[in-house]
Amino acid sequence: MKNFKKTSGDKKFNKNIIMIALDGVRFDQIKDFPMFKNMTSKGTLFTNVITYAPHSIASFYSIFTGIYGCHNGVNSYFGTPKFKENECKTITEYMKELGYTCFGDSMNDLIVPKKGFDYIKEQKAFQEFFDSHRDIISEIRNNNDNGKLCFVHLHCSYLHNDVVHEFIKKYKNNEDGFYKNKENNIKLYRKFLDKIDNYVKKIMNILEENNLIENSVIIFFSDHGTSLGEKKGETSYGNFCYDITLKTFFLFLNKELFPVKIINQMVRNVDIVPTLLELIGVSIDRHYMDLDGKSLMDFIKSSDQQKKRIAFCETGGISGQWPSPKEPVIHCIRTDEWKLVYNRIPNTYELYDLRNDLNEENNLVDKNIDKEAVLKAVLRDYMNL
Amino acid sequence: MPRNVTTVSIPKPLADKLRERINGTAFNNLSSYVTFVLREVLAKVNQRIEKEGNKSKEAFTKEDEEEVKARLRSLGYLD
Repeated sequence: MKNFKKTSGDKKFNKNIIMIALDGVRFDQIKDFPMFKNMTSKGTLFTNVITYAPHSIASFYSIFTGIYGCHNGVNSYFGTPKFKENECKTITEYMKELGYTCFGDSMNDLIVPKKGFDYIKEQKAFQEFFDSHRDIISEIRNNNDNGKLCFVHLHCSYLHNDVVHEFIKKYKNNEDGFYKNKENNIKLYRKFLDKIDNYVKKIMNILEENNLIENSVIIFFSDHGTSLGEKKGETSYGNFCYDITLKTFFLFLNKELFPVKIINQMVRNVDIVPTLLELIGVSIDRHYMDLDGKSLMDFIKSSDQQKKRIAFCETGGISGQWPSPKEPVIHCIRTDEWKLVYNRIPNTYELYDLRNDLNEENNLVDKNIDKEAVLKAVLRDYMNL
Repeated sequence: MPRNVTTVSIPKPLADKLRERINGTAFNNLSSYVTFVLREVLAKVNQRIEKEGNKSKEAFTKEDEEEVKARLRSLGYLD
């Protein structure tokens, strides 16, 4: 082992870490599904996790590095080859150094940094993957039986597949039809979520059958949300920085380590790496780029209101009004109360009071709101302007 | 032993398997075969290092772009 220090020598962390990504799942839509609801009553739930990017590629790279894409290199749909792999240390690498066996799967080779993984399988496009997840879970058990702990990533891509077929492809030449059918889109999306809820149920059963519930930290999370017709110009995600695609969630499950608790305060998806490092008692490796995320353990352990955080997000759509798949053109700063969006093309700003305007419909820019100047200055800092 | 060579130990069962493999080939003995294999391995490693070095220098090559496009296509994002 090298390059990192254990911060607490008293008790060695001795659990598997199993990260289960529910691709594209909106918390506001899945929260009342039976299995998901049941799970949220068993651990620590963060309901307001803002992703760095409203699409899988840049989102997963920020999750795995704890670093925004503007710093780690992966800031767009085309960003994977630009990953600054020598400057960023992934959570997988930290776990590998601790002696963990690291494996899992991903919907596509573009999406998750491979560094640190012993192996990561690429799913076959639009094919069933559940049996593979079952095998991966059996592999955890085999490793544990041989005295090895595991760090595992499972990618549940059902929703991606359904959204591509039923929204993106279907409305490619008739976007107006999509926005006119908002209620229908929601109904359809909730039908897709039935499959996700069933997946959660089946995965939990398999984990239980393999006696992996108590000796594992299980983390359900999503990488981005999905637009269902609320905003013209977006038939799925990736084109804008509105909350319907930026808001995600984390659900941490382990009876011993995570109390039953709901945290509604805003946090960021880059916060997961420092959270896991604090949990396992490892300090951040200073040989690599600084993290943008901060640990969430204070939120988990303490009942006090925690210091508010600022989230930075950006995107450039593959389609939409201002497509820019190679570099972001929409940038955003979000706090618990306010959001400022800068549209590089056509050089406009949007300011929303999220306390009173959850749907982000009333643009308050140039309305003499004192927050505007402050948020613009903070956003310029993030964008290095 | 000539001064420009050195001794490396390998497991005996492996040496036996390698001896079987060089039967009927142009290799006179085990050492020349092992030297050949190791040179091949080293050349491949160097090639990979060089390729990765060039890749990081260019950051985003035409090849990268085509690969990304193909994968985005398989995800259903591009036609």
